[in-house]
Amino acid sequence: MEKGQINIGYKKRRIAYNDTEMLVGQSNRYSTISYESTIAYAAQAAGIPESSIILSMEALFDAMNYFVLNGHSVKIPNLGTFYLSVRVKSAATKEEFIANFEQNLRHVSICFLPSPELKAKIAKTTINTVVG
Amino acid sequence: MGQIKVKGTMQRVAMFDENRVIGHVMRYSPMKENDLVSYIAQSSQIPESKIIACTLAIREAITFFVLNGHHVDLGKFGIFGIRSKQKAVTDAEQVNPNLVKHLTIGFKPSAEIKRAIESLRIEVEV
Repeated sequence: MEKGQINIGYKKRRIAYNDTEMLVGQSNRYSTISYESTIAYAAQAAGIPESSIILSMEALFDAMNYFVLNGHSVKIPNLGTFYLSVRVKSAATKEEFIANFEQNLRHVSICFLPSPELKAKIAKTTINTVVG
Repeated sequence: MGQIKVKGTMQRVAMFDENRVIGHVMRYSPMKENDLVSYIAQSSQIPESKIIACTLAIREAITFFVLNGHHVDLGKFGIFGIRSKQKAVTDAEQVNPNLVKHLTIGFKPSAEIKRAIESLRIEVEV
């Protein structure tokens, strides 16, 4: 695979904490690649019929949802690991923790941790900076 | 509908400087690619070789687009995109790629997954 290349655009923005205008960077987002385009690209690159890719992708995501939402972590080689995490307010005692769990539950979310292989690819990405 | 267990364990919390009960999702075994492929093959009747080839193709497509600054929408699963953190500067002449402190890939779950998370059954254990 070719080395990636991203553009970081710098724009003047007001920084609230010291009330000054500074150039702040943000990665330029190109188009969002749709589900259909991803399938078409994968099918063309690998020489696999689109129907097979769609079928496998649907089955893969269903399986990933099922496992992640049942407390397993799912590791996809060269991509990363998906896992579920919760944020609950701490409690002084075990009894208090159980009794107030529903009120103290703040957030349940799916997290993604990139694999070392992907991190190595990210580190090799060429970064271009643009002002304006 | 999914079901998870949250386990409360006593841990020192620095800001209170005391031991308090903190909740963590109880993790079961990590599902590796082989486990996932066998599960899919069994439940969908797709040959394992085809699933492996398709998974590889999808993975390569995601990596290619994301590392070139695109966001990739994976339908009912979520969106992948690149995230960066960089230092702010006052002068345009100071702008250079070395200001980028951190570059990573972020994942935003789809609305469908968020709904599934809301209806999760959570058991508490201490």
